[in-house]
Amino acid sequence: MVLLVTSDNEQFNADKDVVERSVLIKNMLEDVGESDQPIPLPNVSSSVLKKVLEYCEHHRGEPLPSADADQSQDETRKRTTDISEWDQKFITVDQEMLFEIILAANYLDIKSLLDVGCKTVANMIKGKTPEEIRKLFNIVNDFTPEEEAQIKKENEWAEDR
Amino acid sequence: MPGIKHLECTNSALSPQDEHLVRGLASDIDLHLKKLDTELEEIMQRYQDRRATLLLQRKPLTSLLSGMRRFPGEIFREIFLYIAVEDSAELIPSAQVCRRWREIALEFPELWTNIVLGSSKALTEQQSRGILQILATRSKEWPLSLTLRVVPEMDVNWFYWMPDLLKEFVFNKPWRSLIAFDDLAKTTLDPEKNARSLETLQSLSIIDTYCWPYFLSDLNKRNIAKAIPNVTSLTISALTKCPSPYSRLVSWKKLTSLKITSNVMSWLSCFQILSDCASLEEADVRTSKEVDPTPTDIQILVMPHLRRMSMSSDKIPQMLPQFLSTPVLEELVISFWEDITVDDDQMPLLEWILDAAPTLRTLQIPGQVELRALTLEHFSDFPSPPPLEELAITPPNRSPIDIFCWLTVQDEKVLFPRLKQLEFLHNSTTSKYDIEYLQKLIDSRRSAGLDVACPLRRVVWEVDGEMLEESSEIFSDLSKAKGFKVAVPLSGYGVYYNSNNFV
Repeated sequence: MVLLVTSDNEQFNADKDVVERSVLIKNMLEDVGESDQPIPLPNVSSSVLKKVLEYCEHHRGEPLPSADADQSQDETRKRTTDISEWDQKFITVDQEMLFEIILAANYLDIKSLLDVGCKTVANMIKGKTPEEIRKLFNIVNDFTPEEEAQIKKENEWAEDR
Repeated sequence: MPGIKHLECTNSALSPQDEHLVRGLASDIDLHLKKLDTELEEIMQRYQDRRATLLLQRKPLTSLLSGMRRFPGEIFREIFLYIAVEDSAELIPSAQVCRRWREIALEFPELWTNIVLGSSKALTEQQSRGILQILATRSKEWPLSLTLRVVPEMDVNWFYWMPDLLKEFVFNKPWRSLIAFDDLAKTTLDPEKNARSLETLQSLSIIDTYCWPYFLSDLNKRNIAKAIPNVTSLTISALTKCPSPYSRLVSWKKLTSLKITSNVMSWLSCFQILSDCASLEEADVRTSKEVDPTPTDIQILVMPHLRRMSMSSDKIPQMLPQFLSTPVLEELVISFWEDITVDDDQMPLLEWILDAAPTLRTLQIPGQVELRALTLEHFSDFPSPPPLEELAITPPNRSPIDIFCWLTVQDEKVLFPRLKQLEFLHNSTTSKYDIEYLQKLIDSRRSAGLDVACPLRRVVWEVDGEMLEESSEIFSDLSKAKGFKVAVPLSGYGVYYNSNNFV
């Protein structure tokens, strides 16, 4: 068992093969060797770590993606935005939790979870206009008038639709 | 109440003066009440106004604290890659959201390399020009993936303007892959006008060509294979005609992946074409009607590097196995359009599968194919355990549990010691009894100190709709009891039932 301590000082005990889905924790455990010392995770809150561990538990035992595979996927762009049914249910959370899971997956280096989060955000964005995207994520339109003019020019072709 | 105390002690009717007095007092109180209600309404209104103001002030703070603001550029790049995965034009609105999104989107040229014209949208010349201009500029010198289709709704004059647009914007930029409709493929596969693009091309798909053997022989005549030295993957689909002697791939030696689709095809001609490519590692051959010519003087076709093969047809090829040699085949998928019972007449195919089995790691036979003639003895005669890791079949005329035991828990030896995934397709006979029987069988083997089976970690049972509920319980029990990962498709192949009890 491995003891993890979150940013809000909550402690979580988890199986080694579960937490080792995080490349960061795996490397830490390899560096430290056999030890009872808790692993501090200052960038992850307890509510987020709970979700992350739920994901790792579910995917326990599955092969971890290799760095090479990841690179070749980028090259051939054989990506898909499909999300498995379990992952989809898992990631059906409010927007802020979704963003925190993505940040935690990035920090803990859990590629598959990061992918699920990014695919979810991508699917939310797809097919929307810039204004709809701003409204969805509370984003301020901070373009200068010059940039706005450039964007308008860029969109001239679309007006023919 | 002062002034009316004496009245409260009696039950007699009020005098006119007393009634006037009482009514006056009640009216005063009503006035006070009304005033109080008005005050309360004003307070409520002030409360609601204040609350709304505070919520309005809170909203930008929530937005300021949003995790999205803390996303590093790499996370946005990942998200944008998924948006642009099929068509980079889908990313254009994201690059117009705010300055940061725009900067990130424009920072990575690889996001803008998937160019699709005429896929699901019927684009006019102006729209196509606008998209091409944006994507060609933003992708800089990154290799492009082009998909050029013609859809019925498209501007009928596409034939005139599309080649010109391609020449203007993407010719002689580096290309990685090209998926193109017959005529557009011909336009772009021009070594004189588009040499640089063809030189970097790795994957080529010719779609909806009128007659691919004719198309291929045209490419051969123009010696196109020489102009695309880095193409290792070729897909070619046709509407008609069997391959001809002119449509061979002898000059396409570097191909490692080949996919051929035709509505009428002879397996023999097809595999002759496959065997032209000595480096071929992956082949996918589909036909809706297979014709077998009478073989005359055929040499054994050897595909020394073929590791993955998928075949799809209306019937099982009768004579194919006799002249095909695939010494390193690891993955085989054979599918048929119609329900087929494999009996003794089809044994050459089975023998061929079994010949390949010593190297096969994955065998999938989707479709209603009953392997009646396939018996345990076919598998158990192997001198060494077969390396099969994934198996997907329709259970022949027997309970799938029987087959499960048959494949995994033999008397003294494990038949497929490396089997990790087992899928039973088109199954409607699983019952609770079957599972209980399996549990007892496994338990008795365990208690007898025998090895349970293999590293089986995932069993997929395709179950009829009405079976689902019962099966859910069964598989829930099984997965808890045995630590298996069990998935039950809701309906059809590959759609999985999901609950917390399942993986």
